[in-house]
Amino acid sequence: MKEQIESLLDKYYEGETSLEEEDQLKDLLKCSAGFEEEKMFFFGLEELRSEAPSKRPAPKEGRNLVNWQRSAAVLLAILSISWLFYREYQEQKEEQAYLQVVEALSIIQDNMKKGTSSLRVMDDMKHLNRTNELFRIEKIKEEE
Amino acid sequence: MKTFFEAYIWTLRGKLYRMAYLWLKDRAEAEDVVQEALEKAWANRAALQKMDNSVGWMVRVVKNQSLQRLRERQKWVVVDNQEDIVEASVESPEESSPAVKMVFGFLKELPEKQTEVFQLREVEGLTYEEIAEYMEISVEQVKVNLFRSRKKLRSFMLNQKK
Repeated sequence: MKEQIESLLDKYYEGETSLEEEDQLKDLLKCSAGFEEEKMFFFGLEELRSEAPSKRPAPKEGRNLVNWQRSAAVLLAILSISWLFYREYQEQKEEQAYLQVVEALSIIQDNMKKGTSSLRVMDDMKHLNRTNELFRIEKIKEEE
Repeated sequence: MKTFFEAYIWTLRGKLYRMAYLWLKDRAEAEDVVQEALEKAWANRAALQKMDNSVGWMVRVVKNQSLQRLRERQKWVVVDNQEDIVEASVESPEESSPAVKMVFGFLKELPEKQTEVFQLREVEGLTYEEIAEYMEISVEQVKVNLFRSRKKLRSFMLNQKK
């Protein structure tokens, strides 16, 4: 076996072995004494062969949007956002108009109050045509 | 039915990862590089399908990205050429077994092309023709580089025995 390994090793170092012969050499090394360095080196290669990336699923055609779908989604998003902004703007305008009306009404109300209070002096004027009641003119006339 | 991407590109993931790992000596970085390369391939899958050698394209992307990362990692080191970048970077990961450290120790002595050929043959078990396709070089060049790397391995082994 030792001669076989040595002959295969020579061939291997000359770069003349086939893949099958290389597998055979590695198998022979595993079950033979000696050749510690070669065994260790091939074991290291085997360890490196077992290195693997973490498992992930391959991307699927269906899961991904094609270009026109992407453009449509972007356009839809822009339109939705614009519509929301427009609605917000409209609401703000309506609220502003309402506040202006309320303010106008409150000015009118204030002015009305002022007008009403200035008319309070006129309240006494209502007694002017009631001189008979105030002074009992008829009775006075009778006494005369 | 599998798509072209699933059948021919996604199946390279393990090999590409090990290639990147051998360049970078860092599992997380190797995974990132492969993921970036696959995302690039997915974005260009239609063009990739029409290529004569899509495998070679993938290997080139992974290799360039790995070397780019090595450059970024050592931008404070002044290097003259690409091979120096690879040589300056080679250090086996701390958690590696003595056997893997031995392999890394040997790979450190090889120039870039010989490292690649050696790895594709010894770790991935590819034929000369497959290696030629992966590296976008001729079969003759593969044989020459493999011969040189194994010659160096023989003297490396002799030194280990001393």
